[in-house]
Amino acid sequence: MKHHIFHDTIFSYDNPVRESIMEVRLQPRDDERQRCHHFNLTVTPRTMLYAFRDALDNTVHHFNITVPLTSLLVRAESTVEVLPCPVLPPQLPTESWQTLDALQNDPLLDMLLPSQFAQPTALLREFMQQHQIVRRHDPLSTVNHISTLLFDTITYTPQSTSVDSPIDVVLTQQKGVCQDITHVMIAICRTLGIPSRYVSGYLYHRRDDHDRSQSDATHAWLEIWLPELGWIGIDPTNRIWAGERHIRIAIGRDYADVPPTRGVYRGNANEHLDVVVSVNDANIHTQAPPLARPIWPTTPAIAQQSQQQQ
Amino acid sequence: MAMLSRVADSLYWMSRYLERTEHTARLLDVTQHQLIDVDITASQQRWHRLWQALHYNEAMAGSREPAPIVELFTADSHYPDSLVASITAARENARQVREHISSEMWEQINRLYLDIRQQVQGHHWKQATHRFYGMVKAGSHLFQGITDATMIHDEGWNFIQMGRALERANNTASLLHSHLGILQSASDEQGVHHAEWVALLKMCSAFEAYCKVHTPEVTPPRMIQFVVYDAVFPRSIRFCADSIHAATIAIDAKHTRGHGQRVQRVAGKFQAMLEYGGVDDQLATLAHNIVQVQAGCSQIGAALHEVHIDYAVDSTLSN
Amino acid sequence: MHNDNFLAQYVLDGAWDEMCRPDGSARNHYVELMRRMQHITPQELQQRQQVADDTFLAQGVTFTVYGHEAGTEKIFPFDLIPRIITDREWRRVEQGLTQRITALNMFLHDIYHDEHILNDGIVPRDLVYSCRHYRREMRGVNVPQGIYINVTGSDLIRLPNGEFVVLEDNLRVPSGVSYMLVNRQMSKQVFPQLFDHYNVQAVEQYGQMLLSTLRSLAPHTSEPNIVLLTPGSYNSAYFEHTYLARQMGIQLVEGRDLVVHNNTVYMRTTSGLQKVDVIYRRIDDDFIDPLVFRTDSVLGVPGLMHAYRAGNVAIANALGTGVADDKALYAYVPAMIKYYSGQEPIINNVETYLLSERSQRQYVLDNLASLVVKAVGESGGYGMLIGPQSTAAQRSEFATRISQDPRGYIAQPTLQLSRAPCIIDGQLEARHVDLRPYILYGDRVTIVPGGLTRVALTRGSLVVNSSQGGGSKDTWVLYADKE
Repeated sequence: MKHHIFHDTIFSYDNPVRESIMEVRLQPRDDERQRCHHFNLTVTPRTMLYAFRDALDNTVHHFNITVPLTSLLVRAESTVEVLPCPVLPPQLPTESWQTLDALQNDPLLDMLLPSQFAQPTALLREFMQQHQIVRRHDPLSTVNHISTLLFDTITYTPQSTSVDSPIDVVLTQQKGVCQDITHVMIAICRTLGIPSRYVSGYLYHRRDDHDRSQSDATHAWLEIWLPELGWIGIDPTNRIWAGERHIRIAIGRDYADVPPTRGVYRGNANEHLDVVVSVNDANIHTQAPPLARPIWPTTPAIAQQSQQQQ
Repeated sequence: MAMLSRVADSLYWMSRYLERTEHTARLLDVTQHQLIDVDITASQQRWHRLWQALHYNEAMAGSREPAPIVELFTADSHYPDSLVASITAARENARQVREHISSEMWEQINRLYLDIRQQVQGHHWKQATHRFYGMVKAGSHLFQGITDATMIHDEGWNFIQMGRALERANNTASLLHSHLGILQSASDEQGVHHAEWVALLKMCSAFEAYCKVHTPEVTPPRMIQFVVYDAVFPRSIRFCADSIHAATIAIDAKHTRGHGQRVQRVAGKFQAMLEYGGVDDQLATLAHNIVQVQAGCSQIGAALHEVHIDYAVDSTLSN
Repeated sequence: MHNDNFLAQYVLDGAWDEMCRPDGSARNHYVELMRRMQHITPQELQQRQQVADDTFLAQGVTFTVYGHEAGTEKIFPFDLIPRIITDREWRRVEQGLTQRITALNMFLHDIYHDEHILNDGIVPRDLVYSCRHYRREMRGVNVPQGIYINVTGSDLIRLPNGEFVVLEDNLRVPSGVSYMLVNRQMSKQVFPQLFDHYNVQAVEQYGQMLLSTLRSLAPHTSEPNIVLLTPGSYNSAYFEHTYLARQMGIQLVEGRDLVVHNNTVYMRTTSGLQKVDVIYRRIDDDFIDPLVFRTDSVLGVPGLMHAYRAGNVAIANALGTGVADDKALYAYVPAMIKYYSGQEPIINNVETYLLSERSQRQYVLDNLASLVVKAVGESGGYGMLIGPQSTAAQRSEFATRISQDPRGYIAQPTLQLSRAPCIIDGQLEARHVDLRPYILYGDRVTIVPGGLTRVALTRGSLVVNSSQGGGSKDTWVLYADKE
């Protein structure tokens, strides 16, 4: 499936800020499962853009702006072709657990160890105990079960958490958005010895996809590594396996590794963030959405706010 | 080796705050001790002129007793324009760039700071205010002498000269501004004001020097000529303008050609204004001239800051 | 005048004594020193000590002690009597440390690139990946000349049999070298005549050697702009930062003096921005770039990591070196030496128990009273339990900490550090010492002879760190002909 994506991020400041410096992770991945045919990044006011590939092969752009700013626009436009999800067997052999247990000295270890947002907290263990989340017949069916359980237990509620909410907040209130549900699942899977990694990206909603997550927003899900199958994407927020509609931007241990934008500036100002995302079928010609205007809200926002993934 | 903007800024402000400390001490000292025998109305007016010179909100002063305000300006560390706040700021700036000043300079400013704080915290200063203010002035002079004798006269030293001269020029202008009333008074009132004029000269530390040049006969036109336009009296505004201009040239000598042009130009115009300026006997243009001086100081300070200290990143990329 | 009582308090025990053989006779290289000491009166000694202390204070050779109630600025106590090492002993130390630093550097390059040593199972992968100082941002990043650790301070102690062993390596921002330099100046002032008799290898060239090392990181620039990046005057080692910057004739800067523009690092000067080529940084990774590391840091330079990755600025030491001075990874250094050089270590490690390993952890928990337990990421002697000197409450507390975070601790047997003569209240007494040589790695590995000898000034204390009431001595490495 081919997608055409517009992603606008507008930063507004109530006082001019200086020496703004930023890194963005907005370029969709180009790999065996996904081909990024076209990507364009525009920053207004104009400035030199730099890019590099990190150790996980994510493309990171960065730049700095020297003129005093009251607003900054970052527009990413891409055309991405996503291959369909491989056909999955109903389950794997039980011996798969042993294969996973033998990974202690494998580079996959990075995705088994706790990370900033995916920690095996006491609350998590309690949650797992309460819902009897244990190793079942095999890793594949276990993961499927967890996804369903989380879908049923945690209510998708926008604005119930913030961009840096730890999983304990989510587990206590049993509410969250994609980022939170994904973090909880990653923490659970790692506790069970299943390598899991965070995916930041987009989900294309068609009219008759009744996805829980918000359309025209960034999205988060996870990939788990299974013997014989390799990395497979699963989306617990919508209780589906990641397929053609899931467009991957970046992968990491958790959100902290791959925020879409991250910046620092000099100045005594509050920052407000506005994000406008439009994910479309590339076969249908779409106009670029009108540029969102920076709107300063009546209540000041916290400085250096990042965008939460819906 | 190039000079870091932050270091230049700290040296500049160390110098400005120290000069401000001395100025505040001198004004308070003269006002309190010179004019004890004048009548109540004149006394109140005198205090009002002082508050104006020190930028204190006169409306707030009203008919308040001077004593608490004297205390505010001397000993209140929370009041940003107080003597103790100024010396604290001067010393803190010095501390931040301790490696760039001589150890004797540091010891002296630190000692002055500690002495002032000790006097203020123990309220001892009130028991002998004249001596206290004298100690402050002496400490400041000693620091300047040590600076000139022990610090290499490099870019940093020039920023220190710049800071002192700008602060002094500006403070003198403000002082004259607050005294416009008695300087431009009608001739029949002049007998009354003579004592005030002498006090004004003393606030500029100019009385003795003035007498050497003009005899003790004090008249406003001569006073202004001396305190504003005299070329060789070290505390005149003209003299400060010369120092400022010289400092900008010296600072720029080390830089790539043209970098400090703007500052030099502004300082040059200021210097010319003082060199070729003057007042008539009626002092008709005095108010205007003073405002020009204050504006000039402000422009120089701003230019210095924007060119050498806090400039936009892409404005100049030197080698 | 002969000072008969001078040696009265000098008691030998099971530890190796730097000055005396077990039979009480002075070792050859200490004979002359002892002879001179016996001809100085206690009053003269006290006077010389006072001169030294006053000079230190006047020069501002102080440091900040955290958590010390009696004020924050202290002079680092200096003991007048130099610690003397023979050339033969030193040569072995030098070879051993060169071998060690070379291996550690290769380890760092390896784990941030192909991970051969991890793939081959020599070092457990989880130990590296779970290390707080392991920086994934450094994966695949190439550093100038492939040298990560340009300045290292390795701490050596001498066992009761006289053998030097490495207690720990300091590969991030090792400090103390300024004391080494100042102590030598002091010695020359206090005992000038001794230098006539003893042929001591010089240390004053350290500044020049460090400068060369830093220059080597920018080989394609004819006159690289080198700066020393300090956290500022509130840092406990600030004196050293100013001292070294002055010694090398380079600019001392704070984070706010630098700015990254178009992926290049610049310094804010009164004549505009000046490009920076090499940064000798004395700021920890965590605080060095708020864009990539801790966002709450006001000490760092936003964008520095990107400029570094792009090769537009060199940084000494490289980012991410803390993984190799983690105390748990320390246990694998002999294995690293064997793996990368094929040789046996010339200088050994101290036996170390890894608490993340169950049987070792059990042994340690059962024997806390006779072991030293250390937190893996700490330095300065903090987070440490000295078994034989601890209370039951302290041991219990550590047992809890270990159980909660086994990866965070290691244990070692309590060692009898060697002892050296010190002047305590006018008398000669023995105190435990260690040795921290400073190893530079630019074009090649070079080590200034000797280093800082730290002394545990409290009788019986084994803690030598400055922040916990230790002191230091001048260290003399003799030339061969004077043995």
